[in-house]
Amino acid sequence: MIIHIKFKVNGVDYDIKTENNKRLLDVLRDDLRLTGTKEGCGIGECGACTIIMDGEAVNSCMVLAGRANNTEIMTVEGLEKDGELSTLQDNFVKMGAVQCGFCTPGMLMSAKALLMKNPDPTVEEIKEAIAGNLCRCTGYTQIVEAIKKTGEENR
Amino acid sequence: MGVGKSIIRLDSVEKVTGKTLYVEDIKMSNMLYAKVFRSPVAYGKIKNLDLELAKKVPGVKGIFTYKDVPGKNIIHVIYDDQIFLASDFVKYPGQPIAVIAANSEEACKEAIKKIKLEIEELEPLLDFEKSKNNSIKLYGDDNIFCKYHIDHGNMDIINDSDLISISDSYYTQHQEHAYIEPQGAVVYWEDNTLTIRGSMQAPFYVQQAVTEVLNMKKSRVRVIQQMTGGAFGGKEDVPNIVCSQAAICAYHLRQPVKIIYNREEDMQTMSKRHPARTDITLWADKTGKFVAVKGYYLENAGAFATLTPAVLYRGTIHLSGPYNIENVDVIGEAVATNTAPNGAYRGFGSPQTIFAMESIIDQMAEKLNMDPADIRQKNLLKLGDRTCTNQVLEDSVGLLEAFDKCIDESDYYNKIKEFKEYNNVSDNIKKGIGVSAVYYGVGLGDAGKHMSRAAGTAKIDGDGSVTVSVGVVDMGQGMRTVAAQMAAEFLGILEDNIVVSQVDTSRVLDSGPTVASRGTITAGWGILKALNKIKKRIHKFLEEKFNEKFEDIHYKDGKVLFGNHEESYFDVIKWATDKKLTLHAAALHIPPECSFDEHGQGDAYYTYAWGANVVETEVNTRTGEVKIIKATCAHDVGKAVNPREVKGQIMGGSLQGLGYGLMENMQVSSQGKFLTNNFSTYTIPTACDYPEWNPIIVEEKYPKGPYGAKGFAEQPLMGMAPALTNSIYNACGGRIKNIPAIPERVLESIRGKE
Repeated sequence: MIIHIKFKVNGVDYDIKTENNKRLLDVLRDDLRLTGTKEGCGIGECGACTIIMDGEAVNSCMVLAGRANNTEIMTVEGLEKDGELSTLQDNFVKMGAVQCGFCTPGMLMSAKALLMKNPDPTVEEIKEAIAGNLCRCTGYTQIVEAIKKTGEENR
Repeated sequence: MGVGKSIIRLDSVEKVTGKTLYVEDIKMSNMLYAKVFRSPVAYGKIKNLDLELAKKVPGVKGIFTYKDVPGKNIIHVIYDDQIFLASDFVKYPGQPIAVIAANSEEACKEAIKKIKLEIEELEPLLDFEKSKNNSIKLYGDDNIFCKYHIDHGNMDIINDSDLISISDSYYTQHQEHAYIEPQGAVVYWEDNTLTIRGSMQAPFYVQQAVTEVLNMKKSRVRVIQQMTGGAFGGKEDVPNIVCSQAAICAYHLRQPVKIIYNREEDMQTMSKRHPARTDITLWADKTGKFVAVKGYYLENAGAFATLTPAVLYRGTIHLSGPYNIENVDVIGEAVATNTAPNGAYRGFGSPQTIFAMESIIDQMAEKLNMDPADIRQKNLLKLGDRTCTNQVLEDSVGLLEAFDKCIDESDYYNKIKEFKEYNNVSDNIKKGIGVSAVYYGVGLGDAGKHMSRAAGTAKIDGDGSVTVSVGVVDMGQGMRTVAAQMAAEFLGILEDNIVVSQVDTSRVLDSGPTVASRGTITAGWGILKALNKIKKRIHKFLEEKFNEKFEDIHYKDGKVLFGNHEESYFDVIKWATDKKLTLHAAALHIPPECSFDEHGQGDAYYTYAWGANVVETEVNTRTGEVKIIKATCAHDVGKAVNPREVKGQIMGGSLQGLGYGLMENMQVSSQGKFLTNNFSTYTIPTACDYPEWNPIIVEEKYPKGPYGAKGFAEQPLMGMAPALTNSIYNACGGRIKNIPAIPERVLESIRGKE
């Protein structure tokens, strides 16, 4: 069945028709061609597909397309401002928080959602916020430090 | 800029903006999707395969079986025993039988449901300890894929009654790579060439495998390594399978075909670390000097040999550890079972045997009433010593420095005392500290010497910018960044002048697989040798231009320095370009030879990395839960081309090792299937599990390596499990002989003591 979805993604209004059995992840990646959001497991366990929906970090593989109607969404593509890296992205780059990069978009979105609610989080708060985002490359500490530093720069 | 600087990774800006294209992001017009129909049983005889109903599913374009294979129905790795698409027998659950191509994944799934398979189920062989000479014959007469024997010194010495000995057996489990990007490939025709874009470590393996399966000319199979989202050995040989599956569809249908494994399929069917049992006996004199070691290492290879002969080679050689032991008798054997073939995983057969040796050393220390660090320190290999393969260590032995730094910086001796006092008064939370020492034979060694090569190309354009290539890939470890750093250092210019090409078999030269921690050294050897050819031509050109002889020409800070001249690098390149000097070159470097005779003696690897780990834990003796508090990990890498990225490898690799030791618990059903086939049942460390890190870099230069660099990135994983279990023992007195140290086992080990 074809459904009609009106939503805002990275500040742009969309009005699209798509199939009702699609996941939000598929709508973003296939319909909108925003492929920055990754699929690592498809069952909400790895966090690679994390996006921000109405201010909350969610696994977009666990959200049906129709649920996105009338929502405001942010993906990794929405983090840059006027072609400049956001402070969070810049800190990921500078602090070695990126290796293979496949978990990175989801990790950034979990971090961004945290920082939107809690601009200067503690290490424990950061760990909890990204506990659902698996990274197999880094050992995590560089990611946590990059988020911490971003918070400190928000002070 | 240059070598030794922590420049930012050249790929990281694209990665944090979501612009990097991985295989799953590629979409082509007319693209089809492929899925694999697999064996439902561990062992069986195929009676009939009926595809008629499946072929009628709307959207299905083709279903391919062994009958459609134009070349060999074999996936080439080391032995040619791995069947591409099963024809008569299936030997593990999930073994591929047919590949479906359709215009949607849904149509593929529908077709899979409609395939009718009649199979005579046979009793599977699942217990690897019973495989050897079992009446169920999976490989040859005895089910043994391969065997190595290291016979060093003279074991008669063990008859000396003054020696103290201790024996035990240790078990290790399957370990899943858990790269976050699943296996995948896109295959399409371009310029009459079958073109493969895949997530992989070894494009030249894939090219060879697909060439054989499809019976094509190798030059008509072009393999491009797409940005790869983690690999860790899990994308060494198995992309041969994945790419061949998509390739057979594209070959017949002449349309682009994409295959992406879902996580369950990936975990169920792809290679893992070999489960193993290691029996070990260690002899020492009363002062704690190790005198002899005897080991038997039995690996569960799974249904086909794949990389097992090479994996077993490394595990067997690394069993006796980085210690000077004059008498060593080690046998390694790998046997067949009806489970998915096991293969390469960071450490490549060595974490299993290291767990045994590093555990038995602690048991020996206790028997001799010595400290575990002291007994190790006394026996560490030094410059001039001989390894268990009788190889003389001629250079780059940073073991003692790494070990001492690790002990000092972890404040080991004070913590031993402090924790003892703490534990005396603490009720159920006990603190512990454990140590391990490791070494790592860099490169492919004698077992892979036929592939040991480094081929690079370099081209300098008229504006001075440089394009280099070498046949090793970046799979997230940062190879292209460190290659650019080495090239930039060599030419005395900034990295932004350097482009390191993506590996594409149609234009980049075969440098073997990107495995065995050989990326940095191979990249350096290949690229610098090619650039040096150009430098020699520039040297001659400048002598002719200035009509002078120059002893040396130096490239530094964007300048070229020769005689009394100091010229801009960019001007020199422009002059040379205007005179049509050949500013491109290709070069092949052959790494030092390795050897390994019938007694397991020889120069097993061209050089070694060295490391030491100290792990602190807290054990809850009521629940058996273990919390990892701190890890201090020191590694001799020769030269850290990019120290921040080296530390990234230390911490990331070490956490995989801690996960292996503590929680990664692959469960196999009574029918040979993996029960833990997703991330909620197969748990890997999260941000809530990592310890406080202290990664330490030691640089004992390897004279034959580029800028003194060697390889090391597997080593951080290798010794973490025993450092952890030794720490658990130190905390609570429970000796873990079977990892992972899940709470049940920790509790059992404590009760066993009582």
